[in-house]
Amino acid sequence: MAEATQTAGAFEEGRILPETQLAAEFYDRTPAALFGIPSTEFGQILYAIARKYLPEGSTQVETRQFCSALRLDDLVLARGCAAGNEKAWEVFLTRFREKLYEMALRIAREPSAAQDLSDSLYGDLYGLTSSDSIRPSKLISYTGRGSLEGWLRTVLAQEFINRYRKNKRLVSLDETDPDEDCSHRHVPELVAPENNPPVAPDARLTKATDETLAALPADERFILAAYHLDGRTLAQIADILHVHESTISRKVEKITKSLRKQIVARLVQNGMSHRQAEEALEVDVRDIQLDLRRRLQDSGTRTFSKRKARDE
Amino acid sequence: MSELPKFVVDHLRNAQPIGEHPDADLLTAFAEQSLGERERTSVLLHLSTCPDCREMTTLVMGREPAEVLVHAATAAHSSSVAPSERIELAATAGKAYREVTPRSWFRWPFSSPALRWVAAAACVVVVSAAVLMNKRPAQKQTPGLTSDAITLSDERTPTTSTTPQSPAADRRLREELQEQRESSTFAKRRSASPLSQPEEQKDREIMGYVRPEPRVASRSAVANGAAQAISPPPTTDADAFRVKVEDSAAQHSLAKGTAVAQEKSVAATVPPANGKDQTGVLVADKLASKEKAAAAPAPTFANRNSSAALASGAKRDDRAESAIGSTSETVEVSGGPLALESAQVEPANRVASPQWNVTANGDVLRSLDAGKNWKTITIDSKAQFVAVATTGGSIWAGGKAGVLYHSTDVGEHWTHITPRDGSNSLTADISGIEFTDVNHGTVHAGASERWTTTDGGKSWKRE
Repeated sequence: MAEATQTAGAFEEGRILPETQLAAEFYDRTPAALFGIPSTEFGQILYAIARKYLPEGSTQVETRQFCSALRLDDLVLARGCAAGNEKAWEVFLTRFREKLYEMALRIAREPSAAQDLSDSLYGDLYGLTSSDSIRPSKLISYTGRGSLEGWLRTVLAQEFINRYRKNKRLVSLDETDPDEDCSHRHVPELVAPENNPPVAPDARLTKATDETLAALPADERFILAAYHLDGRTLAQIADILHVHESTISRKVEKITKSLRKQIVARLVQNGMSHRQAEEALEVDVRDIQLDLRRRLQDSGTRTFSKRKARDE
Repeated sequence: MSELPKFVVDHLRNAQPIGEHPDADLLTAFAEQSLGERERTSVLLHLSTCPDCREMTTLVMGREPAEVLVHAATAAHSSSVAPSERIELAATAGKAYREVTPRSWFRWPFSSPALRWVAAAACVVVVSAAVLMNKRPAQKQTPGLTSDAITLSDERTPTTSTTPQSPAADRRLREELQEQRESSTFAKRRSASPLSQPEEQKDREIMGYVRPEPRVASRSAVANGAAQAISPPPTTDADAFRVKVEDSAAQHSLAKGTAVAQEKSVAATVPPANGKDQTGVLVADKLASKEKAAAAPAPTFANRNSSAALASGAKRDDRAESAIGSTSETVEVSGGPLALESAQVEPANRVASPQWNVTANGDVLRSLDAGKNWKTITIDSKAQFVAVATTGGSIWAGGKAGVLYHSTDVGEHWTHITPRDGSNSLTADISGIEFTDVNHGTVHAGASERWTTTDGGKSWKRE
């Protein structure tokens, strides 16, 4: 235990398994040696990963569980590649050469873009070592929390989205947007443009809504956002949450209804009469039907009352 | 789906992302469900407040519609697009997403190429089976019409006693019949009058034993050597009968008549000029008349007077009133309910035997008027039928889960049949039924099961 405390250093509790012990317990389970990763380095890698993800004060048992759940084979393969081990690269390319392109194609949906995307990822994976600059392989950031294949897909998706954004930025600088209202909307968002909130007619409604949303469980809030904001299908949401589509369907219906009730309840708690609370929401519902599209087209800075006035 | 109040949507949209963006490792682990509850919750919470990360997650985990989204989102955010169009495109993206969902249930059966081929093959089989079933009787009928007059005797004639009841006798007679067919073919005519009780009884017997094949049916007549000639009832009577067809009470006996007509391969049809429902009975009459009328146009032959000539000696003249309608004319019906008369009948004038069909929903349809009108026959409201086979008056209908029904009265009454072979019984989905005659048939079920019967469904053999 004393040794552990010493090695753990920054870890105040110091109960996380030390590097040497991690190496002793897990090194032989992996083909790390094959990929040229010595035991000590392996221990350091595991330790760093455990420190990154485990909350402070995690016990040795928890550390063990955590490390056992890691994709250690993938991890040593990635780290072997990052260190430039030939054997590791051979295995990596055998496993992923074709897959990478397929995954890129699935994301980019277009052969030439997919080729670009996967080529650029290869560049990142190989890293860059020249006289003036050293850019480590991206594989060094892989920690084995998920499969290497899944990680590569995620990285491709990130890369795809970043490129897309970069392009957008470049384009927006070149072209002057004739619509003044839109020009100050800085980075274009993928899904929902960042709109300033319209002034709520009643601060109590804002508060009640905030509180109600904050009280929602994470998955329910995710369902709400994915369904109502992003317009995802039930099937997509079901895929992400790993539940059946019908469950999502029921939940969307249930949450949407109960949210309304809860907000009304909070409004009543905060001193509104039941009728007032209902009316506040009723106005709102009608408003959303007629006005959402127009409001999205607006800069988003107009106030509710201004919009009303213009409508009239 | 209920709509969220606008404020709530706004609050959701403007919420500040909770926590840091999860790195690729965490997102991957989230996608692969390898996160602990604590981490999963924090990732979910972040996702629910961070549209970018939600987008990323969908890109990694989402299915097909991603294409729509990326395309529309790209267009929507392209600054070259006018703001109003941007909204349109964004809306399109969302809409396209939602539209995919209801379709997905339909797509899955065809998702794999193999299933697609199976579906295509099944279609071909169903279509060709339908074509064959319709063609076969027609082929048999055409040569069956010659100038020789042959009469089928009924049970009361001496010949009835020779009606074969055993398969062996059956076969022998069939051979005889084959020979007979070489030189002469025939058209048969059935008494048109609503059958009296004893006649019905006899009818059933004929259906049971003589019915199967047109040839079989005729062989009694051949053996008998009797010939009956009957002149047709007037058209007015035909109309009266038609009225009867619509009368549900009369339906049963008429249907029987039709069945007999069919099984004997009588080729006749309501002349197109009449253009109305026909019954096997009526049409048989007309057919007989047609023979006499030779070149006379169809509508005119119907006015001949009935006369019956029974060569068997057991001549019986029954007078049957056409019971319905304003036509009170008495129809003279041949004593032997079965009168065969050869006739040169044009194909267009053939009696359309009852036609059968199965809908995609598994309902069985029957048409008594050559396919003009179809009536749903309720056999078993719970069962879903797939295949129907007809041999003479014998109808077999099979469907999902080994459901098999048999009818010998043109679908008025059905018997549930469960084919058994030893300890095996047919429970697989029936995919096809083939009957070469009343006794010999094969039921195809499941992947490769074949159930055969040689005794009209009493016993089965599984192959």
